[in-house]
Amino acid sequence: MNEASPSNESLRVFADYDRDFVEEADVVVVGSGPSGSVVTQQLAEAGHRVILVEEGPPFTPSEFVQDSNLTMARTLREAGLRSPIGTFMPILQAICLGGGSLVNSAMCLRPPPFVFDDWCSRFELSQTTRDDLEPHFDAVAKFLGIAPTPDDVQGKRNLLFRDGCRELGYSSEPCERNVQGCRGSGECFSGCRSRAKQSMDITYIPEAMRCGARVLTSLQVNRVLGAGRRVWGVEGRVVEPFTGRPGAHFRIHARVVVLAAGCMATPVLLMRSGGLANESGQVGQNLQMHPGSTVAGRYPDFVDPLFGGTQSYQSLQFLREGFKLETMWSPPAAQAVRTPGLGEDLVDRLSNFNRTVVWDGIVGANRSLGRVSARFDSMDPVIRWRLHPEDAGILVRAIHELCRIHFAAGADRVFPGIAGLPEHFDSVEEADVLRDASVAPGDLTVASSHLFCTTRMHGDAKQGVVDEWGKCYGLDNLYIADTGIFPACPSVNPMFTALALAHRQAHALKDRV
Amino acid sequence: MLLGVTIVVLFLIFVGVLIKRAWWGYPPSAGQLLGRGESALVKAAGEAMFPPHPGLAVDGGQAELARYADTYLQALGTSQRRLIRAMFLLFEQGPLLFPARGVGGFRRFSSLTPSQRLAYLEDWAQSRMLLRRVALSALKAVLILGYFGHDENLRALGLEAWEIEPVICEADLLYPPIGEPRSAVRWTRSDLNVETPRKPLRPFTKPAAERG
Ligand SMILES: Cc1cc2nc3c(=O)[nH]c(=O)nc-3n(C[C@H](O)[C@H](O)[C@H](O)COP(=O)(O)OP(=O)(O)OC[C@H]3O[C@@H](n4cnc5c(N)ncnc54)[C@H](O)[C@@H]3O)c2cc1C
Ligand code: SF4
Repeated sequence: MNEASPSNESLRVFADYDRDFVEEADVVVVGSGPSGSVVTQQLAEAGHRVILVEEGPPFTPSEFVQDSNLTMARTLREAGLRSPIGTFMPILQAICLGGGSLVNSAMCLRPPPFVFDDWCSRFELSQTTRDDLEPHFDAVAKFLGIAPTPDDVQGKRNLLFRDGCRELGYSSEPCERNVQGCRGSGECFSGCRSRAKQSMDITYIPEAMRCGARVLTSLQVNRVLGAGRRVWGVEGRVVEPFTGRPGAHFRIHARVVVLAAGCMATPVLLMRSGGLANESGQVGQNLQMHPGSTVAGRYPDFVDPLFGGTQSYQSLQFLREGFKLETMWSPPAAQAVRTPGLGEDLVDRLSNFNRTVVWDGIVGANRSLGRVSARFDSMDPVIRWRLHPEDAGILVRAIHELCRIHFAAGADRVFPGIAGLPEHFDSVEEADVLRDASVAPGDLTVASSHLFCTTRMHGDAKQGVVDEWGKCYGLDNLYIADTGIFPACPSVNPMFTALALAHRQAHALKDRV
Repeated sequence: MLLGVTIVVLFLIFVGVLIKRAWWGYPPSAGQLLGRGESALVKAAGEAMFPPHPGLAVDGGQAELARYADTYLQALGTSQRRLIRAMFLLFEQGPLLFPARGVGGFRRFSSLTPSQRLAYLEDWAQSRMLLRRVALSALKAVLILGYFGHDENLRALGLEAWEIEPVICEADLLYPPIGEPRSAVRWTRSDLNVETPRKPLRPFTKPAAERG
């Protein structure tokens, strides 16, 4: 390594492992997404010897590719082709240092107080109100520089959303994001080449390393080691980046184990460790998501859709009714995937893509439940989840509102993307068929990257996997810190909540280690 | 006896026709991993989906989709690769199970006439069977990403990817290129180029109504 560089002695990457090995630490954290990174940094700062283990590799800007298929193959689990049994849809989850924060749109929202009040009353929680979490939200916001997206990088496609909302009298606001100095490239999904997005790999993780944490990448944890009420570490294999080919074995002994492998991998890990932490029978159950659908609008003039923060404007007008509306962008080809038609119709629509703007609605689908189970031959989960007809109805309502906002903003044609209904509407009156349309869940085109609840927290040990501090019931030193511990949908984009909960958990853990 | 021989001969002829229609006479593949049949399917489906259009620079036949699909297959892990290949097989040999409409519809997809191919894909897109619609969406997604991601098409619409000089921040001095040891970090402090504030990629002009 060049002498002018800061020390990366505490980092290990795939090429650094040439044999089986054993390590020791006070705390081992599994998974470097938002939750695992915060816990690692906070505990390292408090003076504990922490090892952060991550299955994916670290990326630098030269490794970001603009092609969407290749991006997904390199940064997402199962190359972005993961889908539940039940309702077919892509489920996007990252595999890289920084987890979802490397590829996400960086939207940071504090759920409104009613979400936490609902959590507290339905899940017997007493210390998880919005007020309880406020200091943790504040601390994370300060560290990551979370702020509203400024006007100069909104671009036309985000501002059209604002204009449409204003026209209809709906509330709208610029999204707060963990971004500093956004240039408006709209390419958050394939990695921020401008390093404006403050993803975990360039914020909490380097800071943790500075405080003495060790970061071991390309290691897949296969099992938590333990007996009785105590665990004493984890073990697994080295895995090659992108191919996942297994190599040397490793074991890490620690006094405390924190699982932050994400809402799908954490329950699988527990199941493959002899059914750990499952006295309640809730491990892998209660899977919830925010399914989302997009609506494209065609405008009379060039809208320069390439320019603007990826997802920089939103409306919380309908949050209490169960949905949230927001702008969105990804590379043009990825956006175009949902363009209806084939042959001449299709190319004609594609040729209008520079006049096309895409927005999306996500639903807090509290009635649509699923579960995650383990396969015998791999760490990939079997996911069962079905969109409930009532939640599908809310999604149709969200699509209808997006159509209305497009027309209010000046669109001349809108594409609702629902099978069995007209491919496009040319007026708001035409779009009103959505009011009474009977749409089956299978007619909707949905996707999700917000997943929760598979190791939910609950005040009652018989009904949840962890307590309010993320400690597994029935075990003295096993903790979970990822979106799996959410007791229900947060109704808004989940990363900020995951960060705040992990921050609070780390504070409690500091004294317990 | 004669009947028995006739049946056997007819059966062998049928099998021969089936083999010929399914696997015979493919041109060489355009890629390393992509098989001949897969290559022919991708090209044929691309031509059907993306005919020439005055607003776009290249059509499905010119967009080198087989090469694109080959690169994509190479980037996938084993099980995803199997999935995508099964989908290619399903479409290429599908008309031998469910013949395409019109005369000569009982042959592999890439041997159908251009109009039959489009009609065949449209049948899948309109199907009430979710599985067929999903399979069609998956094929369309792979091809559209190659076709619409083609530089010349994006340039024709003013949508080509930004030319951005990657910004190197302090943390990038920690991470080596993927696959190399940690001693192989590419950059040093002299490469740090985080501008503060970074400039937006387009100059900002407030809408007239909001000025002043
Ligand atoms: C494309 C996309 C866009 C999104 N946009 C937003 C947004 O704008 N705002 C927002 O709030 N949310 C967004 N999200 C969701 C958000 O990113 C996730 O909710 C968040 O990352 C979850 O954090 P986590 O720590 O629970 O898990 P993850 O981020 O999933 O991290 C888990 C980590 O654990 C690792 N891991 C898993 N198994 C193992 C194992 N066995 N051994 C070792 N390591 C393992 C994984 O590789 C991964 O890095 C988006 C997600 C995606 C994919
Ligand atoms: S919009 Fe572009 S510059 Fe802004 S954070 Fe996303 S990738 Fe970075």
